[in-house]
Amino acid sequence: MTIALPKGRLFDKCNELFTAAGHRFSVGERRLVAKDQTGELEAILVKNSDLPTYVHHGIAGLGICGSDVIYESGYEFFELLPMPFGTTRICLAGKADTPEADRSYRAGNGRLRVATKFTRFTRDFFHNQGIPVDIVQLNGSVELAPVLGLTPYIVDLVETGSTLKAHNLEVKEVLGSTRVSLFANPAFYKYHYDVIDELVKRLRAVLE
Amino acid sequence: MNQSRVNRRLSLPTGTETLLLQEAARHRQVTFALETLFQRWGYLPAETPIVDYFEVYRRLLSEADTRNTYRTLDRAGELLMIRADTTLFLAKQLGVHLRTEELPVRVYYNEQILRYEVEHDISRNEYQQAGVELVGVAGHDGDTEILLLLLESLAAADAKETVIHIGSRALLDTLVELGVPPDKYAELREAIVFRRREEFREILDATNLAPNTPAIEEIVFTIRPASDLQDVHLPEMVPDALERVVHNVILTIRTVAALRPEDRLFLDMSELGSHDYYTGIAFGAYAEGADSAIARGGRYDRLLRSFGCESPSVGFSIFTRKIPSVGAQDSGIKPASADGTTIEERYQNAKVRRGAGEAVQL
Repeated sequence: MTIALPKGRLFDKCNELFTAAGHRFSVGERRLVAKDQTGELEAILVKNSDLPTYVHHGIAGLGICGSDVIYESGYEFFELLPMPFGTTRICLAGKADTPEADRSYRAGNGRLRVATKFTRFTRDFFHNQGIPVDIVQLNGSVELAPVLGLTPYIVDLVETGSTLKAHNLEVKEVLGSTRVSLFANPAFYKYHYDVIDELVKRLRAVLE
Repeated sequence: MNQSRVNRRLSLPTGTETLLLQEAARHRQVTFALETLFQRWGYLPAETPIVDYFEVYRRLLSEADTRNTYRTLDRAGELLMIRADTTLFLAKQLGVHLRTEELPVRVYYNEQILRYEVEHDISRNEYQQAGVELVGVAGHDGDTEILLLLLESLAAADAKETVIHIGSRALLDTLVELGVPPDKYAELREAIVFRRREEFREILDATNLAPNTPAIEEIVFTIRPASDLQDVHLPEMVPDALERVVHNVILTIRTVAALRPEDRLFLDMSELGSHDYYTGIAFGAYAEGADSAIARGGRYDRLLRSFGCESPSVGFSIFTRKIPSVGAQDSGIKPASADGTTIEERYQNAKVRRGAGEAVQL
């Protein structure tokens, strides 16, 4: 079985978990493919935002990444097991000194202008509440948008809030939470459900 | 004209594709094998129109189906839809033209469909569908015939190492009859199909079925191979109506498995069929290396009634381009070149060799 894992910090956390469950991935420098010591699992290391695409197209049957990334991809998967790391909030943030009265979008008095990486989530969240929203897509350093006057608000993941604070921004509204999970391509799961369920059982035992 | 617009038009609109040369030849080999098999089973061909009036089908389409359907206006201002689901178009033709005394009727098709798809997503490939409809045979016998034909069809199409997961749409309808509010129907369907147990529990726990939730969850989400179905005991707290639905599916799987023990069949009550017009058995076929189901089907006993014919129906579609071996192999057709220096010589030489069964180019 092939599993797509995110490069970077998340990979280390995933590998710790898999190692405890008997599947340790050894990845050499600059290598993006690794087999575990049992030969049962092969990991491909890909960029977080590309991960759902690899699983959707069946290049990897399984993957681990955040629900925010999966939501933005628009693909549907089977979520198998939430991970004990990576849970965070997705928030609307703006300048700390914005008077409460200026946030008139909630009263339906104006359009909400937001810069974000999470365009699909932002559109769906506010449209489901009947709030029109103008979205500017950015791919990094979203906090700069209000500082430089691009948009008064941003929608972004907030862990400690220190990045916001450093830019004189604050959370105006918590829109939801995201979690990192092990998930499967539905057709792959249907074909290999017994082996996958066994793997999930081993991982769950480690987490408990 | 702007050059970038011209270049953009060199690609195809999303939701369609071109097959050429070896790829097309290989695809035709597979569809030829399927059509031959369908005919041997006594099925006759049907060809449905490319476009039809959208209003006729509107109430049968889910929100997602409607969103993914290409629509256009004719000169009189009537809204038309391009064929996005052969079963629907075929149901109208059969419903309008069939008389009850002609039943049962067995038809097959091998057609292209067109659905809107996300431009950057090339994975679906459901544009080519070959399938059958069995009209006028209700219940167990009809379901069994269709599953047996599906298994033989997959073998004929060289789809190796496939598994069939079999459930029933009646599960969803029964849960609504037992107490799930109708406005939760779509949400419940999504929770089951995408195996979201937490959402499933939340929906049931908010109804009078709450005490039965763990038992119902177990039968919905536990996949059982046919070999485990000889003496299966369902949890005690499963309501009788739901138990009957599951036992009907088990009965069919047992019958098919006994006739074809070499095939891999599974009871999987999370299979609900891909369209809201399904009423009974629902199934998907999966293959190693395929990124989604390679065939889907089920029973839709109320579909033809929408078009004036009261008759049960069951059928399946094979997405012929999704079969891994179809894309992986070439057709094996390698035409030779005719001998000779002039066109006359080459024609005479080719004629003789073609008569002996060879493929020869001039």
